[in-house]
Amino acid sequence: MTPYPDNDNADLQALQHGDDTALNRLMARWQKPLFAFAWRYLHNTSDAQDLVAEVFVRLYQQNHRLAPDTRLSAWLFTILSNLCHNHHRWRRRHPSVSLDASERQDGPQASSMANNVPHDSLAPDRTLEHAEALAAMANAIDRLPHDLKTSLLLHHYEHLGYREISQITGCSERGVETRLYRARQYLRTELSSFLRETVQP
Amino acid sequence: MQTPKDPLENLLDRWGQATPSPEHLEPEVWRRIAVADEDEAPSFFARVKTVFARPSFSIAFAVACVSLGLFLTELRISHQQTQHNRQLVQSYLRLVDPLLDAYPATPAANSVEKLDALLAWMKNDLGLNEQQLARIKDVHEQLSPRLLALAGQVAQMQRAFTEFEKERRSEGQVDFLEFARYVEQRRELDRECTESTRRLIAEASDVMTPKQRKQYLQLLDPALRTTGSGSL
Repeated sequence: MTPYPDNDNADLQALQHGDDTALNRLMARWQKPLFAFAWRYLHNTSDAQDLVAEVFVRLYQQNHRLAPDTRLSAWLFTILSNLCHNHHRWRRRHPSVSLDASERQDGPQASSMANNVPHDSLAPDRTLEHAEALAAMANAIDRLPHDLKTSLLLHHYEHLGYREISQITGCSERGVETRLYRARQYLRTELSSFLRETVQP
Repeated sequence: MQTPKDPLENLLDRWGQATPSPEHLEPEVWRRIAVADEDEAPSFFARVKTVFARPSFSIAFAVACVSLGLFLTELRISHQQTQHNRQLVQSYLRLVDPLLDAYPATPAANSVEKLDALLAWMKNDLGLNEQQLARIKDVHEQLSPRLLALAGQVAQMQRAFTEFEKERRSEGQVDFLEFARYVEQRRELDRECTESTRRLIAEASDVMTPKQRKQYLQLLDPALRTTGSGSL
C-alpha cells in the first residue's frame, strides 16, 4: 500500500512523544492520495479538502490511542472512507446547490476535463463523446454502494492489495475480490454504450 | 498485434487523471486543532480516559490499587489482632486481679475454661513450652481459689459501702466509727489483693525466660496503667 511504512511509524511515534512537526511530515506524505480518494468519492473539491483536514485533526487528537506499530495508511483511509460515507449520505438527505456548479451540474469531469484531455489529438465530436463517457463514469461511480465504491477506488487508483483493502473495509480478502467484481460488473452495465465506443484498436 | 486493453479499465484510468491537486492543508489542520483545543478544554473524565489509554499507566494503577488493598487489609488484620490481644490481656488481668473483677458473674467451671483459653493465648504469644505452660497453670490453679475469695470479699465490701451511702442519704449522717473500721478493712483487703496478684505474676514470671518475662510484663503494662493498677 505505502512505500513509507517505516517513516509513518517513526513519525507516529514522534507525534506520540509530542513532536508536532511529525504531523506536518505525515500531511505532506499523505494529503495527496487521501485527497484524491476523497475527491473521487465525493466529486467535490472543497468537501474533499474538508474531510482530509478532518482526518489529520483526528490523527492528532487520537494519536495516543494508536499502537506504535499501527499501519497508519490503513488507519487514515479507514477514517477517511467512513467520513466520506457519512458525508455522502448527509448530502443525499440535504441536497444543495454547490458553489462549484460546473462540477455538480455537468459531472465532475466537465470542467477539469477540458484541461486534462488531450483534445489536440481528437476531433471535436470525439472530444464530446469522451466528455460524455467520463461524466457517465462519474455518475456511475457516484451511484455505487459505499463498500463497492471504496474497494474499487482503493484498488484501481491507490493500487492497494486485497489484504490492505480488507483491513480498511473490515471484510475478508475474498469479500474484497467479490466487491471488486460486482463493482466492475455494475460499471460495465451502466457504461455499456460508452465502452463499445472507447475500445482502442 | 497489440492486445486491446479492457475498455472499462481504460475509461477508469482516464477518469482518474482528472483529479485536481489539493491545496496545502497544514494551516487549516492546525487552525482546527487550535480551535478544538480552545473549545474543548478536556474534562476530568476525558483526561482520565486519555491517561488510562496508556497501558503502562493502567497497569501501574492496577498494581498500586492491589498493593493498597493488600496494605489496608494487612493494617486491618493487624488492628484487629491488637484489639483482640488487648481484650485477652484485660481478661487475664481480671482473672488475676480481684480488684478488677469485684463481681465475678462466672461460675468456677467457666473460670477454668477461661483460664485454659488465656493460657493457650499466652503459650502462643510468649512462645511457652509445655513444661512452662504446665507450671504456670499450676501457679494459677493454686492461687485462683484465694483470688476468687478475695474478689468475693471486695464485692461484699462494695455492697457495704453502698449501704453506707444509702444511710447517709436517707438519714443525713453515718456512724463514723463503723465507717472508719470499714475503711481500714478495705485498705487491708486492697493490700492483700495487690499482694496476691503480685505474687501470682511473680511466680508465673519465674517460670519464663528473661525474654518471655519481659514480653509478659510488657503485655500487662498497658492494661495495668489503664486500670490504675500500676503498683503491680
